[in-house]
Amino acid sequence: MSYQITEQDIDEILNKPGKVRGVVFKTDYRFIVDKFGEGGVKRVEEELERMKCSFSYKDEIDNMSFYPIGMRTISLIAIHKALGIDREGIKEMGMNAPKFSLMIKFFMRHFLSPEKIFEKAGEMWEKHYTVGALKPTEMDLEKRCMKASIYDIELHPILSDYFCGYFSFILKMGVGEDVSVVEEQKESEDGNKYHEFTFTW
Amino acid sequence: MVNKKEKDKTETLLEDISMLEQYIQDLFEFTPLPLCFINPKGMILEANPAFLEETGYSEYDIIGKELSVFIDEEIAMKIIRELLEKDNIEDREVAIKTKEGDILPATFFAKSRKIKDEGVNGIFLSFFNLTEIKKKENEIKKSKKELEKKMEEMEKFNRLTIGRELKMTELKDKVEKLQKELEKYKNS
Repeated sequence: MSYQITEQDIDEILNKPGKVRGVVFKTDYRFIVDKFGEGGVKRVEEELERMKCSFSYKDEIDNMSFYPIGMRTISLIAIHKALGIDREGIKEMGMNAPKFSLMIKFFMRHFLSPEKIFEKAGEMWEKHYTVGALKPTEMDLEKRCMKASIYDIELHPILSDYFCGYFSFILKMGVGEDVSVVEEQKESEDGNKYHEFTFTW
Repeated sequence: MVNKKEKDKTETLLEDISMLEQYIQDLFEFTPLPLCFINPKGMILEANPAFLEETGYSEYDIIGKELSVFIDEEIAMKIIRELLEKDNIEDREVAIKTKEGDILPATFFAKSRKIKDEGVNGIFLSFFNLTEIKKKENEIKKSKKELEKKMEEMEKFNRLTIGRELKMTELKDKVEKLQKELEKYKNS
């Protein structure tokens, strides 16, 4: 499956309010280098240029600095287009990202149980993004199931797929087993749309 | 005003934590000893560059995988069970499986990490590759065996030559004695 994006979409995505920490782009960079080498980085950066959103992963991004949130989606789209990574590949990319994120490593060193992950997930979101909120909503360890929702932010399907992989890996570290994730777009009673992630293991 | 002060304080603390985290990370990456951090369920959360170099795995291969990726499953379980009860294991021999399927003889050190009120929250595991030492040990054993064989041959040779020497002396004494008796006989 190919993620559809038009020039108008790119403008809209780039104009969305909110910021994201540079660490997310650094993890993208690690993934590209490890899987496709520096040549892969060049291809992605050329794609970013075509999308009129050029930046250098290696030289212009700082782990802790904030960047426009739209760049998060654009970076993933450029990787998808330039390197031909499909939906499963994007999920795999999300699964690999926590392996390289210093912030997640720090988190995982201290909060290893599913209960702690459930409790602290929202804080981790706030450390990475200035808009939206991640709220764990249900946890049933006996039924081996957990739910969490992302509110107040519209996620492009590529970012939803990426988060499916990302969250499943973090939870896997807590429960010690492979975790399946399903993402659904829902609407609250007051008409607000949100993204619900259901995890089972 | 108070809020701004509190915010500044928080920012400073966050900066300090970030610096401390970076320091730990730098140290973790610098150490030439293979080192990894495992959660109580036996999953590898971190591995330093020395670990990746010795085992041939990349972070992709190993992070999130079970300890049994590089240590025999039964032994891995035993290590985890042991460390949930006691603080550390020191200098114990183990076979490390590399990505290529080679087996490295090694000695490992492991320490459980505890968090107040929560108990064991992870395990540090480090190993020392004994391949070169074992190789030298085998070379020394081989040399020792060869030396012992040579010494045995020497001893045999020695016994032979000394026996011949003694016989010669004995014969010489006998000849001298006979010569003396002959002289005596001639004179009488």
